[in-house]
Amino acid sequence: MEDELVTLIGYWIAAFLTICILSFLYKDNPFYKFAEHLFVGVSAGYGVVLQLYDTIIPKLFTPLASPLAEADPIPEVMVAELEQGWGLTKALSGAFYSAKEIGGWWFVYAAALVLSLMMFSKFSRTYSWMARWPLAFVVGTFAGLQVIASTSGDLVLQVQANMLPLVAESGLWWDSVNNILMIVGLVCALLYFFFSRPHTGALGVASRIGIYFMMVSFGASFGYTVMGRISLAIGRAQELIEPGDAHPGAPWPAIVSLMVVGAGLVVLEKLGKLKDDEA
Amino acid sequence: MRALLAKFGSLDRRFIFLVMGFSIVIPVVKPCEIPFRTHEKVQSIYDTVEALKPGATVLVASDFDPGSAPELYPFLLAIYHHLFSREGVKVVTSSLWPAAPPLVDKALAETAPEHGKTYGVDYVNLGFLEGKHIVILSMGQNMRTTYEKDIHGTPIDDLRIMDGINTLKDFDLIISISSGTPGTKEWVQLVQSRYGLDMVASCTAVSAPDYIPYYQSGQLIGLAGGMKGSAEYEQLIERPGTATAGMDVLSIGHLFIVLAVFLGNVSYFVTRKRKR
Repeated sequence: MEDELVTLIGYWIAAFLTICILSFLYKDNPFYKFAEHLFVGVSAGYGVVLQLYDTIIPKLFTPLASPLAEADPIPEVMVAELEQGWGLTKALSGAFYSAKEIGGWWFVYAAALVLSLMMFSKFSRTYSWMARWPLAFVVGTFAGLQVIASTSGDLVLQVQANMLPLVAESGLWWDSVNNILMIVGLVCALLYFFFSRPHTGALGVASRIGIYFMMVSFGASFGYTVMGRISLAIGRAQELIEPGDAHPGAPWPAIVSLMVVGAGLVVLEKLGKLKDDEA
Repeated sequence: MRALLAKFGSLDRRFIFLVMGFSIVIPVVKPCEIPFRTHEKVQSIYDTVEALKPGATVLVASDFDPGSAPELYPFLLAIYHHLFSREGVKVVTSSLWPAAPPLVDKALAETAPEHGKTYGVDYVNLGFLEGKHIVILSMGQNMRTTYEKDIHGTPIDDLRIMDGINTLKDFDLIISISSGTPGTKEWVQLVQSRYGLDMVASCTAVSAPDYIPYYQSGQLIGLAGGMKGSAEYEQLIERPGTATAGMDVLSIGHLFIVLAVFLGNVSYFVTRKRKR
């Protein structure tokens, strides 16, 4: 019974807030602003609580709270990984071994806490330079990861996949046409981005063909984007209109919310409280 | 006629919003069941799941939130139904987005009991872990130090389903359901290209053009894009759901957009001629 009441109240609130957000399509208004601010506040609060209880407490505070002598040893698999390091990694591995000797990963967690706290120095004009160190650590780590990830996933394998035969192995003529189109489109699109020479003559023709291929791909992306946005609207419409266990009383919450928000907008318009949108 | 077309270019956009709203609401109230075909990209996902042998373990990486649920939640339901219908296939679900676990729990509650599956033996929800790319890399090295407990706090070592699962290489298939970053791109770059694992994906329509090159290169065996991809998968497993119900709304909405773009362009050229 209690669950049903909670579902009913929650659904009415969801319907009202949906209509408030959609009221922006008429003009910017207090209903929209209220729903927007509520969403931002709830999202921020949810995010903070989640990060605190799922990440900061179990992954940082709990290990730090362990006495030095009882700190967790470095997991075996990580020891093996460290031993396999080359050059700079081996030097760093040596530092980690030292940490292990005097108390496990405690000092690593402590360093992580110090770096995290240094980020807050951004709020101080005098000490904001301290935030560069943890930022450099984060940027460096992700840059290193992305170099490998992008190179292997987005460059090498993609180039390999686009080395296609002009005459398809399947023997079907449309596969051959497909391969030729792929190669022509790829080469011409790449030539468009060659700016060391003016786009005249053969290079000009090739870059123009590349532009046409790219325009077709932008059109396809636009179509997919339209589909994505309409899908979200369909999802809301289905939840507001179709009755179900999760949508008790549909579509009445939506109809009542529409009437309330509509009446509110009419009153605000008559009072001159709604600003005209800039064209 | 020319004056009317020219006027269309300066039409108040709120009329377009209104007509767009009607073109969405009316088909929801009165469905017309416009048929649609299944693309080979989605068929490939279906065939890959069908080819799973008993005892196979699948990782479902649910990296989305309620904002993209209309497009991806139907696929999540459909893929769970399909996986649970396969004899002896085990399903492990992880999330890199904080709002995903409740959606996963809801989908598992709707699908697992129907197929008589037991939590901890046939399926498990490992929950959300912060760290994005680092979590993916860490899972590739050691699942057990990455996910020490499942979403309910049960230690991983106590879950029978995780027997023999130590790294990502121990999974027979990875299914990425994603609506942004971290998502399919990160799974392909950090896992598929590194370990050469079988991988399929479902993504939002906005992201689909970015991932089609991965399908074309074979890095993804199959790809379901947006609500249409979810609807196609529902059709393949013969369980029409909300995505299928939304397809005729999608078609009518798209037709209106095409008409609006066409009339807008005609109005532009008519107006330009007049100015000359």
